[in-house]
Amino acid sequence: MTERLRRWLLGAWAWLVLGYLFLPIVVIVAYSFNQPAGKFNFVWKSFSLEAWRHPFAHPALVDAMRLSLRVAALSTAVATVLGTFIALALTRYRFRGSAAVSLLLVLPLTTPEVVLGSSLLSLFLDLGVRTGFATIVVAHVMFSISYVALTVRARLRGFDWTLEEAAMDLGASPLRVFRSVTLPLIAPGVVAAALLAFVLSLDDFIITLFNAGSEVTYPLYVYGARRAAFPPQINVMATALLLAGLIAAGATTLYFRTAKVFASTESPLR
Amino acid sequence: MGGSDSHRRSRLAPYLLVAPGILWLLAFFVAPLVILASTSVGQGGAWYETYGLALGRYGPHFLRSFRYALAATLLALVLGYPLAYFIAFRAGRLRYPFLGLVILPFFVTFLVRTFAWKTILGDGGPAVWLLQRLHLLGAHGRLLDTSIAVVGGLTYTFLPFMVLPVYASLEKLDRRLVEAAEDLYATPGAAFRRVVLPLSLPGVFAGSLLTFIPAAGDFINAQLLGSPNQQMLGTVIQNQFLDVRDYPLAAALSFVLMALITVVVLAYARLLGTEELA
Amino acid sequence: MSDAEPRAGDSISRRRFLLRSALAAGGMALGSGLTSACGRGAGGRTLRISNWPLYIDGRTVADFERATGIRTEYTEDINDNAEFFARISEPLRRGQSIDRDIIILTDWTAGRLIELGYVAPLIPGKFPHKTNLLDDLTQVDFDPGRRYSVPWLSGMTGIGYNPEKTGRELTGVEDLFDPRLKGQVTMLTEMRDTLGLVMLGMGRDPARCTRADVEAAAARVKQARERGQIRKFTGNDYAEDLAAGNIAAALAWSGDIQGLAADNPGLRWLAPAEGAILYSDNMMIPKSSDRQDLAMAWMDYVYDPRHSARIVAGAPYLSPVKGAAAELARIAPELASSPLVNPPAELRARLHVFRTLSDAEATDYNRIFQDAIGA
Repeated sequence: MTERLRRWLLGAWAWLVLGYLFLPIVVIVAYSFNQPAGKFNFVWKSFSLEAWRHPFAHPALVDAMRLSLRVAALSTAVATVLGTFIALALTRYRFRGSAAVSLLLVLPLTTPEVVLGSSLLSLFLDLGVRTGFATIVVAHVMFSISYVALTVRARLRGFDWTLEEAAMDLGASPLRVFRSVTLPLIAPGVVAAALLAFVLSLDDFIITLFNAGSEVTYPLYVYGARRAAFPPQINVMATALLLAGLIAAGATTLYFRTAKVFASTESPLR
Repeated sequence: MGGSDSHRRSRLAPYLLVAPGILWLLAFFVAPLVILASTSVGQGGAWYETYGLALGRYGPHFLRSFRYALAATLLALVLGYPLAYFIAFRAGRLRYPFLGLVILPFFVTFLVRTFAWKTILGDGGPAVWLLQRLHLLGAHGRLLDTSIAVVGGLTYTFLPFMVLPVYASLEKLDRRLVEAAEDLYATPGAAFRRVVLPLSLPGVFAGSLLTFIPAAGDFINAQLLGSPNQQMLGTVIQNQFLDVRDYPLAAALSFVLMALITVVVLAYARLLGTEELA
Repeated sequence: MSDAEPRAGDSISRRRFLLRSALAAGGMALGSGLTSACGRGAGGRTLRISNWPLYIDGRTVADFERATGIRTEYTEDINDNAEFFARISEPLRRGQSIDRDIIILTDWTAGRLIELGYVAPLIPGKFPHKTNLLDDLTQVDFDPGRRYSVPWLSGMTGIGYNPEKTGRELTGVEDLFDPRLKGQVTMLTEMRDTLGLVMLGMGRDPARCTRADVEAAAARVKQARERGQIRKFTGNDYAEDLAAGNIAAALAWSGDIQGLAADNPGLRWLAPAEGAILYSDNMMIPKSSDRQDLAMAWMDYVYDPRHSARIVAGAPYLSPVKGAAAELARIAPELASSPLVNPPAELRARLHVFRTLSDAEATDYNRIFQDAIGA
């Protein structure tokens, strides 16, 4: 096999795999322009901008999306703070128990979601806590902390912390040091981690299913929709999320002038 | 200067920083697992009956879950490794846009993507049409609600979790090392086998875990793309917890699943010689 | 999907309770602030109804709001009796609110909820139209005298099919086991519907079934499932597969198929020659509701024959209200003659009710059924 042929084969394979990754996404976007014959948007009928013109035609879907965004915003805020703190502690300090902390961060990632969801439900059942908005947020923060902490830690490895100490020695208050020295250093990693947490929260179905009570998030709505009606507005929202993701990723990259931000989401297990 | 004070503060600092997050994990991850364990044991001495039932009645579901998850992991490796290699070594400046493409599907809700597969694989859909034209599928053959659809769906869902860690481990490789290897060994193939592949094993390990574990516990793909004969353990656990409400049995099933996964992971770590997750 | 009460939680030993409390205390210290910060206050006086999807017309809720001034939150979040029961029974057992003032469940689940004391009695003084309830629905064994529940609509479980895919007209339950339909048939996750119809196909009567009948029917289902004859067991989602053309025939509820006419005009519903299952879905007020007066206003409103006819015009099922048929003939004459909303005597004679099961029986039979469907 010649070198050129091998290169060509590798490239072709890579593009095929990318095609596989994007095949359903093409279908989703295309079907957002479908005018389904009846209630189920699963069979192509004819091109239409109807769903894009009336994206909010189904109040229950809008409510579900709104709930998902609220949950994602709140859980991302909490998880980003908690996770970043842990990452800071792990990279800045040597302390007893840090190995245990690292292990505890990895464990939720190696536990199947169905176990995470069901065990959390056991806790809530035992305590007599009603499942609903608060329990969804609690669950999402739980699984997001690890992703945030590991992502930020991956970015902070090998950072030079003497700058911080220098500022401290110059008499800056700890708060000021954090604002003007630490934060700019860690910001790209934190932003990437927050985006990741946001996306994971929006996307989660299994853990939410167990702990949502009578609340309906966007994925739960989609799950129920196959039983009654699957309007193209579901696809419109999915496409909108995709665009929002593109814009957020693009803006972050431009703002920090480094695409490396997203490389830090590579491997949580490191 | 209050040196001892700041010294004490910096000794306390890491604990104060980790405390909130770790407490959260202890309360909502560790404690629930302990409660799950105590639920599975139930009252009195009947716990072995529960576990016996879990293993006896649902043995086929366990086997199926592991078979499908294994198949999906292997497929993801075969599909994903070359892609990661391509991005790391051939994409040049386009590396990050390519990585973005791998992550982008996450922005489209997992469930919506699985429904899209239903459309693609449906009896009147494009995949069946194509395969029938190519005579790879009989006139009455189908894809939806078969094990092919379930394994394909699992592979699809978790493929990015394979690509990203493999990419990360490849990216860290020293180019000069690879070049030196290519000089040293007669063929690029040998250089890859002797140098690149061994050095990327940690990434393969991480990627395999991040694919295998969620795949073994997943139930959406089996539920939407499979028939009753393809249901996995996740379906049973969900059904027992949310519908049948046999909590001890459901908890026991969860625990056996976790235990078996741990065994598989440890065996795999042995095999690859990476005993640590680090 | 069984009536089994949780085995855990009922009698947790003291030691385990302490262990759990200790473990949980940390969790709550973190969680309680969040709960109180985010919990939505009940506020306002909105009537909250849970119903099945596709089970109402498009006007009634707005009409009711206009007529009574009661704000109404109508949610279509019931997809499966067992699933919904599981979701509400835990909070109801603890005396917590489920944020609903009316729930609508099938006979056997209604009976179970009433027996457990989770349902508030109706207030006769606020329900003058209750006299409109059809006579043969007033005496049911799970709620003698209808003190806790009244039917929303009644329906028949039969077969929905796509003649284009079956290639012929179907006539009975036995057609579902035709090898030519292999992999193109779905059945329901509702035990009484699936086992009831299969029993009828085997010449056994679900109104008087024994354990042996259940076992025989379940064995039949299990065998068909293992051979790949049955593609799926579904709730309402059979509609999606039928509409998309993935299946040829499904155990289906009578009114659903009409609702799919736009998706696929060829679809048909059939009451099998061997008989169909008759059931009612019943409105109840959960014990936790603090708006029982609003709930009564709703029930009284929909028991006006004009309003009941309006509902049937949008969801072609059987109205339990006297005089609704006549009203329907006025507003939707073409529908009024449909056997779906007005079964002729010949069809009525073929309708069977699955008998009420004791707790022990329900748990036992469910286990057999769950095994049969591979869940």
